Parts: sequence; structure tokens; C-alpha cells
Amino acid sequence: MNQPQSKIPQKRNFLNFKPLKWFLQSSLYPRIFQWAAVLVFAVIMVQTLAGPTSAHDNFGTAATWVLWWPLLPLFFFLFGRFWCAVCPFAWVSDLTQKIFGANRKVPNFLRKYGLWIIDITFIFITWADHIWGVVESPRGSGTLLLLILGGVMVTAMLFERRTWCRYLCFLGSLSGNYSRAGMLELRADKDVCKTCTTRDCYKGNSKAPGCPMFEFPMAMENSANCNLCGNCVKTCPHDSIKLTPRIPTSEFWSMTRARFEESFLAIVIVGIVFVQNFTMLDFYQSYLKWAALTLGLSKNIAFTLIFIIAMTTPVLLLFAATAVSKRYSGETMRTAFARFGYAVIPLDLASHMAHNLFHLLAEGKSIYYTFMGLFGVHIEGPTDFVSDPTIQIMQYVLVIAGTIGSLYTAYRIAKTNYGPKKALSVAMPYLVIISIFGVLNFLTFVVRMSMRM
Amino acid sequence: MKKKLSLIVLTLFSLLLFTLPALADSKPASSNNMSDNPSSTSEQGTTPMNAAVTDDNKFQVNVQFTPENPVPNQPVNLMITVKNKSTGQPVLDASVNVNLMLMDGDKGSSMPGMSMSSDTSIQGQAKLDNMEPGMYSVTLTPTKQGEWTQDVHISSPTLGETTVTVPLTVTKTGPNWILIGSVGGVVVLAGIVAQILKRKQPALKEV
Repeated sequence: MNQPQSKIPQKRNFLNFKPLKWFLQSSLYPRIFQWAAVLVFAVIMVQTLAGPTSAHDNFGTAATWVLWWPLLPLFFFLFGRFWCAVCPFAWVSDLTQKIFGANRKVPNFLRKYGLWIIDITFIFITWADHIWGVVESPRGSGTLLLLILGGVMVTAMLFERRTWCRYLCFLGSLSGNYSRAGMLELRADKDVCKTCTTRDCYKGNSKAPGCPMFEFPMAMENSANCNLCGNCVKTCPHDSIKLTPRIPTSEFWSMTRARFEESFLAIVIVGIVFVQNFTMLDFYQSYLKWAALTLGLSKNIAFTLIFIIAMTTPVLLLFAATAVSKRYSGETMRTAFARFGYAVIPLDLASHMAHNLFHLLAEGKSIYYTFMGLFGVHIEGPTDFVSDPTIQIMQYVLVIAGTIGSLYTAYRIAKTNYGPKKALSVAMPYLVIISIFGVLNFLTFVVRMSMRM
Repeated sequence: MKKKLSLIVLTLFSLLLFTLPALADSKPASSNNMSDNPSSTSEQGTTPMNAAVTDDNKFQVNVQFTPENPVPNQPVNLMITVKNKSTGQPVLDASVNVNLMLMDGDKGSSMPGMSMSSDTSIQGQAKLDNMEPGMYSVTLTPTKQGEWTQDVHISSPTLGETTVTVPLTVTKTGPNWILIGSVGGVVVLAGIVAQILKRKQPALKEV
């Protein structure tokens, strides 16, 4: 078995750019972004909980689901988990902890099963969205935000650092996966860190607290839990931290430790994105009605059945691919599944972006209309920035790019772990499965989607 | 102790997660709550609601309004399509007046009736709209929640007169205080637990 390549070419360190380093080390960062986010978030909370009940008129709904949610995957891809550093919930967590926090150690249960809780929560929220209405119902969105806020405050009061963000935030896990496919990474210079005796990056010092995400930069192998909060840049007395660009998806090729839960979430997202796309197609209503009538079930139960099938099919297909592949790799099912599950993340990311691109570009003006509604100005008009065919072409390009990215990632994972000779035979079953996912995703974008607002 | 604490937190979180959405005042969504096609607009409010279609001897009248779930002090756009029943042709020379009146019956008065004050009786003249031939539109703003009636009076020099009455329910959906209170209660409870743990911590360290 080949070990990951140890020779890494010298990368450009963005922290060599003095103004950027000064900004990251100053108290302005990330506070200045956090305050802006908190301000907007406060308006969103009030709007979704007490504003207009129609999504069409609600600024909270528009800002959350037409602007923030579509831009989020792009942010993860470009800037890693930067969003998590400025997330208003993180601000609430820090503030609550400062005032009321008991700062208890995180229970082992959460450390061990946190990712599974996240996986289950993510699936539940997607299901709940279709049953109770979250995205299109301002009150549903408000309920979700309020529950998250409650969870953040409770964990911040009881446990140390950002326990919620690291172990319980359903978005944190998604962002962790997406950021790993991204093109920015923060790492420490291991040679410098070897000589360090203070470990200020983890413990914190007078300049800033320790890593809120329980990470020790020297030992950090991936970007899943780095939210680029800048604390380690501030606290490191040896100037060891580097912020470098990288080839998208390259993290998956070189990682030494694959986690089953992360791979599981990656493959579940394939199903989730497919459900999101499928349920927004014009023929879906008549299909659901037909399924409900044929099976003699209510629409909600019929949807639940479709949902379960959509969630389990990609998982089963990946297991099937693993079963074939392990004949050549000699790995256990669990290890191979965990290792190659990451390969679908580029496709997840691209499909997620493609799906939400429609909402952003076809409904984007509704953000302005609903914003003006806050001041009593009622504006109606077309909500699109560009025409549907243009959006469709962009969606196709994204899905094709994502599919190619996933295919290449699967191949590189095989090449890194099993050598160039075995690479193609080990990767082949995964390449077939990824191609199927890619084609299915592509097909869902052929038909026009429905709007959210 | 740690295990118990984590179990308590997780149980509380799970309870919140799985039970409180049911308390939310959002109506159960239709399964296609992402769709904006006309067959599934129950949660949308963007697509005009087909409120009434009336046929008398001369007129064929269709009344639609948006948003589907009007709220107080928010404009309601009425779209009235008037056609000649015998020919099916749109009527372009009609004068269409709408009178929006709040019914008092549901407010506890002994006799159902109509309130006639200025903010409970609103009039407007619908103008020909370019969206569709024979479509007249007017925007009125109901000021209070309750059951309103929309009297649409149509007068045409060629076809005569008719009046269509369409009900309009204006609801005020405020925040769900049960939900907000529940989350707030859990947070306060966690705060109390945190303070107890905080006080115990130095004592434990001393031991």
C-alpha cells in the first residue's frame, strides 16, 4: 500500500501578505463580520417568528433561503468554514458561555457519537421540511432557527468552547465536508510547532482564547473543523500558522484517516439533494398523488417512503460498489466505504450549488422586494436576474464539473492508497456509481424547478 | 455524572427537536411545499386564489385575490375577470367597484352584521388590467383581522348590472409564544444547572 506523498511543493502563504495578517491578528477580525451577521440574523429571527406568514412577503425567508443558503456552499468551497467564524450562533455561544458558562468537558458520548447525531438531525430536518414546511413557511424557518438558538445556548452554558458547532450543528458537518473539498487551508508548520512548549493555539493566551473547535493546529490533518476564526493566528507566539491555497478536493487524496460517519453523511447528501430536486419538478405532485393512491397511503406517508428510498439507495449503491472494489483492494467494507464515501462530496457540493443557483438567480430580486417591505414599501415585479435557460446551462456546467471532480477524486483516492497499477480496478465500481449519480442529477435539472418565494 | 449530564442534555435536545415543531403554528405543509404550481398553492400565497366564479344570465365573473392568506394592513390584490356569458368574450366596457366590509358576527356581537366605520368598510374601483382581456384589478388593504365580504358590483352599458359577493378571511398570525416560551424555559433551566455546576466546580477541585 502506498503512503500519501510526503513531498509537498511550497505553497503560497496568504499570511505573508502583511495587511491580511494584521487584520486577522487584530480584534476587528472576525468581530466586524460577526456584528453584521448578528444584525441581519436578528431581523431574520423577528421576521420568521413574527413577520408575514407568507414566504412571498417575508424578508427572513428570502434572506435565509434565497440568499444565504445558496451562497453558503460557494463560500465553503472558496473560503473553507469561514462562515462558521462569523455565524451569529457562534457569537451567541461565545457570549452565553462568557456570562453563564460552566465550562464542563464535552461528554465522551458527544465526542463519540456527535457526528451520528448530526447525520440524523440533518436527515430529520430535510424530512420535516417536506412534512411541516420549513423553507417555504416563515414560521417553520423561525421554529428551526429558534431551536438551534436554544440548543446553542444550552450547550454553551454547560460545556466548554463551541461544543454545539463542533459536535451538534447539522450545518457544521455539512460545512466540514464541503470545506474539505475547498481551495483554502489553514495549517501549522510542524517543524516550528515541535519546539513549542506553550501550546497557546489550543490553550489560548492574553491575545485570544484557544481554538474554539477543539483543534490543535499542529495535528490538524483536514479542514473539517477549522473555521478560520483567526484565534491561532493571534495566539501563536512562533508565527507557525499558514493560510494557503490548494487544489480543490486534494484533501481527500492525501488524508490518512477516513471517518465512516463523515462518508455516510456525504453519501446521504446525494439522496437529500436528489429529493430536493425531485420534489421541485412539475410532475412530482401528480407522481406523489399516484403513489399515495396506489399504495392507499396519505401523501405524507407516501413522501416518507419516497424519502427513505432516496436516502438509502445511494448508501446501498456505495456499499455495492465497495463490495466489488474490495476484491481488488483487500480492504474491509467499513474502511473502503469510509475512504471512498468522500469521493462523492464534489458532486454533492456541485449539485447543492446548482440546485440553489436557481433560487438565487431566478428569485434573487425578492430579497430586495421583501427588504423594502420591512419599511412598508410594497413592490411586486419579476424576481429573476437571468433567464431560466441561462440558469440551466450554469446548472449543467456545475453538475458536470462536480461529476468530473468526484470521478477524479475517487481515482486519486485509489491511486494514493493502492498504487497506480491497482488504482483503476479499485476505483472502477465507484466511478460507475458516481457516473450514475451524476446523470441522475443532470436529468433533474433538465426540467424547470419550482420557486421558493 | 458526566454521562448523566450528557444524557439529560441530549434528551432535552431530542425532545425539542422532535416535539416542538408540532407546536409551531405553521400549518402542515402540503407535500409539495416547494412547488409554485397552481395545484399546490395552499402554502404559497403567491399564486392568485380562485375565490369565486359566478354565472348569471349575462355575466361570467371570476374573482381572484392575492395573497392567499391576507393579513391586516397588507394590500390584497383583487383580479376580477368579466366575460359575456353568451359569447364568452371579455367585457371591456364595465365599471367594476369593490366594497370590502368587515363582518362583526365573529366578534361576539349578538347579531351578525356589518361594521360600517371607515376602517371596516373600504371601497375601490377596479381598473382594466393588461394581464388578461376582461380582467379588472384593484388593490385594497383590510385593516383588521376577521371575516370580510367583498361585494363586487359590475355595471356594463351593454349587459347591465350584477353583484358578486366573495368572502375574505383576514388572519393575524403572530409569534408562537408556546414555542418561544418552551425554548426560553429550557434555556433558563440550563442556565440554572450551569450555575449550580459552576459553584460545585471549585469545591470539587479542592477535594
